[in-house]
Amino acid sequence: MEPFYLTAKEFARRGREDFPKEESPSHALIYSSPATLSYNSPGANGYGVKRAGLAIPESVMLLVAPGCCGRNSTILSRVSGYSERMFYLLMDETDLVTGRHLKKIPQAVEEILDVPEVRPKVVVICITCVDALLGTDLVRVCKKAEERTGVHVVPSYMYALMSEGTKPPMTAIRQSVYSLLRPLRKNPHAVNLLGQFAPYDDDTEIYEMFRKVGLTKIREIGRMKTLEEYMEMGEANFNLVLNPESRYAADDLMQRLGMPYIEMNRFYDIQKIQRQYALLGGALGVKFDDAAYYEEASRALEAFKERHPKLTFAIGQTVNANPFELAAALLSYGYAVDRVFANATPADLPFITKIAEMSPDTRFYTSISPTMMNYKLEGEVDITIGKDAAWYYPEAVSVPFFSDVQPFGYKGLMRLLAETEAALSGKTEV
Amino acid sequence: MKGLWKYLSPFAPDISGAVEVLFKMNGLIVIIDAGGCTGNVCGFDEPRWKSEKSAIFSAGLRDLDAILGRDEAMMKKIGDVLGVMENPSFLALVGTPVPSVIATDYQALRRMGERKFGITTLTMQTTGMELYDKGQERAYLELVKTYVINGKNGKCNPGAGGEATESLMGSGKIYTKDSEFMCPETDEMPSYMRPIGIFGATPMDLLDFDTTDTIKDRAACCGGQALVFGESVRDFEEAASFRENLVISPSGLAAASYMEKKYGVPYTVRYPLPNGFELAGLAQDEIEGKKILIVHQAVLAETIRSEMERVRGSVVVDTATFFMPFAKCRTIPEEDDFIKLVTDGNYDIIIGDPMLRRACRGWNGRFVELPQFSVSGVEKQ
Repeated sequence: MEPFYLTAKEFARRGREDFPKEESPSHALIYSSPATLSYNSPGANGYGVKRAGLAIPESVMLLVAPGCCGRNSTILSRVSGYSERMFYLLMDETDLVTGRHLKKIPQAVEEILDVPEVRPKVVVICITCVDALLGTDLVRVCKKAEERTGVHVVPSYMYALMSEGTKPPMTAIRQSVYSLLRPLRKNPHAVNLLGQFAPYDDDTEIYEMFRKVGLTKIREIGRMKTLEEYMEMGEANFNLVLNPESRYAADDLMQRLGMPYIEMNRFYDIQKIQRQYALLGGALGVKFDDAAYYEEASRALEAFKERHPKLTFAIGQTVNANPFELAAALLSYGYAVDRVFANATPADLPFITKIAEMSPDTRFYTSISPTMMNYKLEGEVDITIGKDAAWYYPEAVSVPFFSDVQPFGYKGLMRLLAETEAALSGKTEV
Repeated sequence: MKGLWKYLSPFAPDISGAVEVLFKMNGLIVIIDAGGCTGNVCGFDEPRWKSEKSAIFSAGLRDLDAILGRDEAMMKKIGDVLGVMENPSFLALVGTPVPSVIATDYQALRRMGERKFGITTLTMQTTGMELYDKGQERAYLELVKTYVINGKNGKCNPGAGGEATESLMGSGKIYTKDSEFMCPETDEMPSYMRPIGIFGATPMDLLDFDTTDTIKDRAACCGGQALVFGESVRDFEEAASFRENLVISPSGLAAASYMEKKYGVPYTVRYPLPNGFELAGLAQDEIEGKKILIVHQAVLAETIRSEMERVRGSVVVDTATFFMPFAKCRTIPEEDDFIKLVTDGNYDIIIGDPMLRRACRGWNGRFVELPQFSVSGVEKQ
């Protein structure tokens, strides 16, 4: 059987009313091909739930779970350098029946505080699917542990079972990492960027543009070195949500701290980037002067197109971009996009419709579909973008474009072009 | 505190062990989870996943599937996948913590699978709370009980009645009589030409520079053919006619014992060490008069211990394992027990996975690295 795919034209025609059920991970058995491993599990590579929970400065994590839930941390925590901050309270079957593991948590928290050379100020407790089914009230347990130890104890949830609910694991953990913020006196010059767990690129124009309009205190959790610094995020005049998975956290902050929020998307279409800054300025009542950045990015784009007038791309899901937006942007620049390997949601339909107008035969594959087991590594593209796309085209030039530190805006587009250029010239040299 | 791990991190769970045994056998392997357990197996515990193809799937359970026990829905998904596979050998359903909590009826799942799809259905009641060797043990037993019983060689019992002698390791047994027995019913080949079967040879159990091929070569060095159980269903079908079994990790002991009792296939227990590695890379004078602790899977640890004691009688060697015990190799149930063993043991040398160093704080002896994939998950570069 041929792997399941839809052409852009078919996908756009089906629209929201007939949205393909194959795009939903729970519709079928999930095929964890090597291409998809970075994103189809809540403890996956990059920032999974556990590493994300440690974004709170001066924190450690206690994973309270069956051993299997922490196994990937054995490897990932060493590779990413946070093994000294991970602790485990492993459950057995008696725990499942009696719930006695919950009673042990306060003492466990007390014991782990003595292990690091510098005493942690925060302990993040992470529980998993079994406690979701047991209906565990972790907030209550954390309060008890807090009373016993005097440090902040933060509940967090790695509930893979709820991956398609209203609060999937990566959404829930974003709420958890901001949950310690308390209301401070509002500072009209302060803004929080809510999106990722690592910072955005230092040269992202957003910093300078914001400073020029008086937003001088720009804070992100990934740049906060101490708990004190982190707590200052409570004075923000508003939050800027740069990743839809942070919306739940932003809602929570609005309710608890009266902190409003505005959303922006990450685009690689230069016209969309420009329009979005104009809209943001309108919402804030300021005018962002982005002309110089726009010009610089335009020049970089034109130079790239001059050097590489004809390229065919394949795009994956393990990438610092929305793969559908990125495909649409590349098509609008005159390039060909042969295949996109990603799970679409109804929110992607505007991009898919645009792709269908420019390139109706572009194929969309759902990487975790069981039919992908029969996918044959074949076909030709010049370049792949995304770690997973490279797996499908081992011979093509590969641009992983997947890092902890995040690209954004005009500078994000320029970084994409620069990394693509570097990969292409690497191939030429070979 | 029991269950609290402050320096070490979780070892490979039973789910991974079961899948490792099944990996190469052309079955449809369904891990009954939401996605995370499968991600752990494929992404971390199964190094072959990146280079070899196997039909491993997550059931993609969601909260309501678990709460309402929607086994039919899972079976429908399985049916869809069986429809796109070419002649899978079996359907294997591998348990995780979620089915443990909701008390999944594996017998019912097995019956459903066999009735609905007409395919041999294996169930592994793994929980994610035990270790990889328990998962392997379950998988081996399930396979021998399923396939050897129904296998064409099941009636032949060549070793039965042979006289048992203690093996080198003091636990497994070697049959010395009737070793060239020829099955009168089938005119099968003499026993010395029959293959040796190997249990417990997975990436979890092997030395980091070993492969199943090197193990087979060493096991068959005295002539004949060696086969690693887990490479094809056919090996299990024909296992009753094997000359003997070699168990190189405790996870294979139960299956080998079953084969001995039921079909008279004898077994020995030892790890076939490569030449020059008998002392775990140490020279004879380095172990002279020393007190040594070896921490690894028990059969490997015990094999090295007996070699050390053979070449240097002055050495004192203790063996310990976080996994199943064997012979003199003691079990370390908890991290605290390991710390106590190191603290109280007065060892000059500890041989074990590099990750264990973290729990040896305050101990000033020599640490010799003997990587164990099921502990640190580190692949040989």
